[in-house]
Amino acid sequence: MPAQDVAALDELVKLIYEVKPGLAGIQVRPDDSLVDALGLDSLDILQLSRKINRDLGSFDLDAWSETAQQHGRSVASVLDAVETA
Amino acid sequence: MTAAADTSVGGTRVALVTGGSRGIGAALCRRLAADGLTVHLIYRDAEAAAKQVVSDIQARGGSASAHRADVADEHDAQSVTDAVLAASGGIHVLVNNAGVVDDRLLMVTELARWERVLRVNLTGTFLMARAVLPTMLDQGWGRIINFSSNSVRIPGAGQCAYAASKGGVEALSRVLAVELGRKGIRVNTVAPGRVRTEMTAPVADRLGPDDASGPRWGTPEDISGLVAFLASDESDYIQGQTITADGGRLVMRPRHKNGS
Repeated sequence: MPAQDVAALDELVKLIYEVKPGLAGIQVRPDDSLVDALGLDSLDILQLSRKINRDLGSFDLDAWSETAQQHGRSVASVLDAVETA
Repeated sequence: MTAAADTSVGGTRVALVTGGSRGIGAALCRRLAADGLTVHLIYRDAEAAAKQVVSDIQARGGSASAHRADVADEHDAQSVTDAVLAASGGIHVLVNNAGVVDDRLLMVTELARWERVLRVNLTGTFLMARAVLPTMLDQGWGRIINFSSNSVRIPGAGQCAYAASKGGVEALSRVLAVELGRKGIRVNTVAPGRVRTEMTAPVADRLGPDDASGPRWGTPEDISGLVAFLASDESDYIQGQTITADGGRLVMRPRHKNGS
């Protein structure tokens, strides 16, 4: 994984930990599902999306949710959907 | 109590009070402002009264603004929330105080009147809570204080719409408490007894006079102190509760034919 992608993943994982402190210390991998593997619910994902928009770049939660069947709500799919400035 | 994180905007918390122009709502605004919060009050019709509350607060060195909105209207609820955010940068306390009474016996309650009471009292509470939620999530701190009534537990004849709407508010509050509690948001309900306001004036005769052997009529200030507490860090351990403030009317009500 390119260094730039690793840095973005680290930033996203930091935000995931903020949203769900109980995950702290648990390794988060790109193919982990936010819902099925990490246990985020809809409120967590709303909170995470607002943090992403604030700290990482533009993230369209509705568009990402509409394609959930394809990407399985994976961590990597969030990074793919973030449009950095 | 655990140490509270500083979730304020520039050291000041922001309160949004619906139905803040008169009665209990006006007292709440004055109290929260006196406690140092920036207060945004929502009124629907009583513009002069709303401006008077703002003027009173500002004269005492507080910060307040008035906004016209119908909390029963989805667009209005979101617009006024956006306006408060634009002005103050946060919303820490939401007090869903706006309410209407339209008491009439079931058989003569027209659907439109039933729906209006439900729309303002219950749907308005839902719409405003939903509108402020993203902001409170961002802050990781929030207080939502909803208003119910003794009418949920000891309704009078003719209160089908009002009591049902307030019962719904209590259930909604508990659901919100379950959903939001782990995000640092506390949701509680205040259930006042009979409090002298413009809203209760039309039914004051039916509710009876002060009784030397029982609880007195309340004042808006009897309620505002409780709300101020629920809006504070000190209420952090209180979640999903309905707190009755009625001077003991509920527990002291007569249970026997002789009034004892």
